[in-house]
Amino acid sequence: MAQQAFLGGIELLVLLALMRVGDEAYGVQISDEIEAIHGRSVPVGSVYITLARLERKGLVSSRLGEPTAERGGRAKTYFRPTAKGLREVRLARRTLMRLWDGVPQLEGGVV
Amino acid sequence: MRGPEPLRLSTWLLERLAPRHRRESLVGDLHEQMSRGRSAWWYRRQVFGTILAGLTADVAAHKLLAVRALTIGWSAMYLVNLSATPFIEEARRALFRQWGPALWGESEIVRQLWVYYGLPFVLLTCVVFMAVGWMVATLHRRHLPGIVIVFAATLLIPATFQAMETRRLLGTELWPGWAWGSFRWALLFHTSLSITVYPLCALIGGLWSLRADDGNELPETIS
Repeated sequence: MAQQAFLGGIELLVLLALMRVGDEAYGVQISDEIEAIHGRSVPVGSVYITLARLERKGLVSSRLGEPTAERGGRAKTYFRPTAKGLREVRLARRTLMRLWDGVPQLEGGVV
Repeated sequence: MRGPEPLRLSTWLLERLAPRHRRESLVGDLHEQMSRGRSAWWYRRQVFGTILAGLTADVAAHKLLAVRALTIGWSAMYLVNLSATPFIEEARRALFRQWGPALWGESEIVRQLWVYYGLPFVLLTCVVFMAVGWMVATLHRRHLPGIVIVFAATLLIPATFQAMETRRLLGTELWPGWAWGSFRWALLFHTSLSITVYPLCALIGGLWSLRADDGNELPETIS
């Protein structure tokens, strides 16, 4: 039986930011996107750690780009969500929305 | 085709202590941002946050290995202390009696450094701490580059007790006055070494052992 990939808070945040950035997303862009939306900065290292976890769960795939002089000769790693990753995000959204609906303190909209 | 490195020390630390998985890309990302005008403060903050996040993830993912590393490090310290103390005491006496006066001659400063501050043994202790830090890092290179920091941090525990004892002794007024070479200064000197220099030596020894590699293998440090 396949292991259920349960998305943690930071995982969902990184996965959603990755989807917002698009197919050619890489670490700093994802970190910047989270900061722009959430208002709090997340170290790029934390984003990479989370991406590694998502990759192990099969929710994200990656490919290495070409090294450039601007990056000190280091290659860029591009990430994209897999089909499984998209399914898990949809599932997380449905679950959160259902939970949201049943909370009396949040009735009348979330401020 | 590597360009000029931004902030050498931060990059050096990053290349050794950042999470292994995709380390090369991570360092490249930060490098790229620097070349696009990000500040040195931003870079240092990223380096610090990245190392801290990697260290936490490493230790959380390998708790047993972390315990093993600390056990090995502390056992080594204990064994070195146990086996070297009689030898060092003997050497100290021999050096003091035979070569000491010839070495310091008329110089009071050299005599104080030798007698009160035990400088040759301080240097020897530094070497021991560096060797133990190196050993801990070498035995856990594949899994836990961050464990070196944890090991060095645990050295602060006895150092804190030593500092408290020093504070108590200085408060007793057993040695009034703060004349140069007084026992007070020697006590403070050795306590400050335990808090700063010795853990730093263990850290340097450990970092010396860690290589800057590309770390593009599967994320073993992450679970």
